[in-house]
Amino acid sequence: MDWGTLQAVLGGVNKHSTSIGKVWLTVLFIFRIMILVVAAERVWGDEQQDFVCNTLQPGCRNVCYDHFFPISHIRLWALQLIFVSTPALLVAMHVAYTRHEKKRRFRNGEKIDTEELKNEKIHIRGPLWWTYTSSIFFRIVFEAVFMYVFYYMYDGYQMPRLVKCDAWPCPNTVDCFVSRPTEKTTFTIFMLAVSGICMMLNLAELCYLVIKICMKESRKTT
Amino acid sequence: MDWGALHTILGGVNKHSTSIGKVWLTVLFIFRIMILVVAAERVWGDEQDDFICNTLQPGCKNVCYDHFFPISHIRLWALQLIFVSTPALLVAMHVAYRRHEKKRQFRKGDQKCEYKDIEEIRKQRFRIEGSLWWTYTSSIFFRLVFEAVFMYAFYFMYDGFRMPRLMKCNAWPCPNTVDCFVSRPTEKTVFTIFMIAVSSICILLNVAELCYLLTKFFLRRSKKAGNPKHHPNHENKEETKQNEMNELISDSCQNTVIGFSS
Repeated sequence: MDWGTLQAVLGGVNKHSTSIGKVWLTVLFIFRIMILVVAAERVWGDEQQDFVCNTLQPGCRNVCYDHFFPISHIRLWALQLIFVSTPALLVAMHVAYTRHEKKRRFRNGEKIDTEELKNEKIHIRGPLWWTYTSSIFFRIVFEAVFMYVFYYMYDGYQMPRLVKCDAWPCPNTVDCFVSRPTEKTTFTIFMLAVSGICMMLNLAELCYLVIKICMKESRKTT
Repeated sequence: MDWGALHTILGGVNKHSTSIGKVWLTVLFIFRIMILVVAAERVWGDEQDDFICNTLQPGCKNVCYDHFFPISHIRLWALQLIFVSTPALLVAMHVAYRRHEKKRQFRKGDQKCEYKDIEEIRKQRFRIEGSLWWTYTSSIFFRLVFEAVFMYAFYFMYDGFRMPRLMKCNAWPCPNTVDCFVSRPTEKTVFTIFMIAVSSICILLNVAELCYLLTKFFLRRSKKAGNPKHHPNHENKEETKQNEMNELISDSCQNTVIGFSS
């Protein structure tokens, strides 16, 4: 189970999404997951090995690294991407349930073509609309929560070159130097920007769905 | 999600590209992405480990490495390749949208729709005209812009395309000035020049494709202007259909020679 499997699972959801949903999925896979796998993981690969402290005291480096990097950026991004992708599974489950119901009706004697049923694109109406809209809402909430967690945990989005550490067993205050701080800052800002773009796309999709349903309701009343 | 997945996605776009576009895609995958994965990543693999500074001062190596290599070449190339590949997805989305519209017309039973079944719509290759021409041309334009921007970023960040053997560093906490030695500078210079050369070839291919599309567009317009009374009547519609089929046949022969499987 890796990013490729997630792609296979979410690819199926793509069929029942709106156009904005499809664009969101493309941005997620190409500009976030792919960048994470192909580039960011290499940048953070040596983060503990090349975290150097100006001391000979054993254990000081470990303690300082743990103090300043409670959860690595890479792990936070992986968690964020998994949490942000999973609401789409609610939609997939709802669609599968709808199809299952139709198949059951077919078996009970109603005339429905099974092949057409498998390939049918189910429209975003009724209870599916509620499922789809709540999945977008949860996506937005997860994105915002993770962006705040990043900001809170690392005091902003910039990776400092030098951190001053005075945790035991370090003697007094010790200078510790982070590995590749500029490259890490660049990728943090890039991932933040794409996260922002994804949030905008989700908000746009939410507005589109809400407007669509309001217009449909007003047509029904007139 | 890795380079293989990108290859699968872009392989689908290949079907709707011009011949120059297909050559560009081949060059991109074989001479850039493959070289990056198979060779360049090994060359730059030990770039920080074997970056050695002539000092015992802890932290000096980290700081000097960060000062001289703000973003590693490998990451810049990975970003460049991703940005340069993605405009092709605009074309893929436009084609998917057109297919969706035609399927909708087919399902409604529209008599204007000339397809016998839905499979034909799925396999149809769209010609690059009308709104698709604009999408395709803007995707090539964006490719050119991204290539140029990244080449400039490389030149600006590393003061040229050569990797020096020795760097003199005086960033804190290094004492005074410290000599730092780069790992594999000659090999890195060779690969940098190679990637720049292939990048330039890709730029030339994109410029050629842009000129080809513009020339085709203007020729078509001048033909229309030259025959203002031409109306597609019943007999001419069949001729046009036969011409389209002939083109499709000749193009599908080309596809089997150069194209990727979609």
